[in-house]
Amino acid sequence: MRISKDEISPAKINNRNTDEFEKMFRLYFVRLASYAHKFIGDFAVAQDLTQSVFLNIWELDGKWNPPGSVKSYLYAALKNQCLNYIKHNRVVKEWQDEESWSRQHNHINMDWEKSDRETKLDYSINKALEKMPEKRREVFELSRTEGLTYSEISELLGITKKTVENHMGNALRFLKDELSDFL
Amino acid sequence: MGVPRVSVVLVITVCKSLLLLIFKNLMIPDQNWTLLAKYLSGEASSQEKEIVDEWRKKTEDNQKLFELLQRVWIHKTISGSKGDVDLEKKWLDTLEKLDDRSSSHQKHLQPEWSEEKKEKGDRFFRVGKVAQYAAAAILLVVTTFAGIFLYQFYAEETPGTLVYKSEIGETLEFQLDDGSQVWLAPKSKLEVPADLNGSKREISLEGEAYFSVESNQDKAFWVYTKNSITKVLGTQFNVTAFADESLLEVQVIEGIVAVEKGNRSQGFGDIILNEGDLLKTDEQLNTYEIHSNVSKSAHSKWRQGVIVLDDLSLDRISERLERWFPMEIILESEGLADKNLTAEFRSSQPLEEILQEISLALNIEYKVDQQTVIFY
Repeated sequence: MRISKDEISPAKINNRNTDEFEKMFRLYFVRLASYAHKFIGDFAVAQDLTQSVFLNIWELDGKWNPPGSVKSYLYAALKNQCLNYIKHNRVVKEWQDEESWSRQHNHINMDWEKSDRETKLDYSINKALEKMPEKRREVFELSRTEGLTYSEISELLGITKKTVENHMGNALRFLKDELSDFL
Repeated sequence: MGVPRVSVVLVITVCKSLLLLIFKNLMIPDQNWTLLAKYLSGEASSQEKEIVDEWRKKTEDNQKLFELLQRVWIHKTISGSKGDVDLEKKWLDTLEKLDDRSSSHQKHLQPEWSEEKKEKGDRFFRVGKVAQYAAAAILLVVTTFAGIFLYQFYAEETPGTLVYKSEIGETLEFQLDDGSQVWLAPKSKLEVPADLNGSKREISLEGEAYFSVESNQDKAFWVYTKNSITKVLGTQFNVTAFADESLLEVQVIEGIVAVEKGNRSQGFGDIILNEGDLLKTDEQLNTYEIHSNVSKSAHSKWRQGVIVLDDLSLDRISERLERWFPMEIILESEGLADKNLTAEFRSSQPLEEILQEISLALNIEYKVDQQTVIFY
């Protein structure tokens, strides 16, 4: 039965259980890579960084001891990898900005008149998310897109659960205001 | 002494119900937004859920707002583009690096890996090409000889049958004696004669399987299901025929395939399917539809552990999920069965996450009791 949310056992991985390691990899790789993609414009690099998170755990050689849940450890470790990468590769960051600009540009070129309600809504949701203060958006997307629980987000970002709740509530109210045309 | 105490209790009770009343009727900004957020992200307690549910029912505007926000949640499947990740390749690559890091070898091994990888890629490409030529050949042969193959079915039981059976959540991949490759979906059964190189290539299937048939122009490849026969010379196709679903689906990925009903006296005779065609029949009704140019991956993604729900009703979804996860799904009211959903999940995803997304999309609830899931 796969009911439990976090079924990976760090103890097994520390005991060099490759099955357990593979399970963790398969469970999280795609989600983590798409999370890294938010920081790193180049998806191939995002995947490499994700891979290195897994390799690093293996390299800890039996001394892996995540303080909270496995999931929040993975996200935190990956975020650090991404931030380090950006710090050492300013060029990449610029490239990413350029790309995200062109992505936005595509949005602007969208034919509003000819689009259906769903497309318009999707577009407006994206726009609204872009306008959100960074921290709030981060919390919101970790919950919504990455499916992290409030406690996992609080562990990952080092904020209290109450703050997570507030960010989430504010994000929702903000979205409602931005999307009032669709009501 | 007794009198004041009673009144204090009374006052507190009145205040409490008054507060609750205000809470339920008005949109108190901050508190209710966090409550709604909790509800949508699956963090709400059952008590909090009740408050939100009641608030929704209060006015149409509330319900509209709720639906909009719910839509924002579902929107993630569209906007959260996960890009294309070949998880299998990524894992093999990781495994190689893992081995290298464990054994303390020198770093200069790296170039060798990449060459090896390249070779693998080339080989894969070559196989793909051969398959393409084979399919081109079949195209001609089948159209020419279709008449000859039409009415030779009902094989006798051959002694010595190999039975492949997949368990819940398990997909099997194996090669048959004639070189054909088969992928078997969870909870499916394939019976193959021990001697496939005899006069006929005939196998029977209950469940779902993907076939990449080795080309042999002298010997057609026959797939028998409860009520149908699918025959080919060499091609790639997917057959779905579960005993508990009175439904047969055949999708052709490459080449041409002929399908006929087992019981021809009342059936629809022979159907020729071309590349990209998807045949859907409800055998009880004796009707069928052919959809052309259907996405080729839609019906074969399960081989990579992707559960594709293509505009399926909740009862069909339940049947499907029960094959991937060891559990029983109960629909508490009959109206639920007809709710349709299009979605994609990975079998590696936690079940809880899948259930949450389904109930959110269909605006229903679920609860889990040991091995039983109840939608209500």
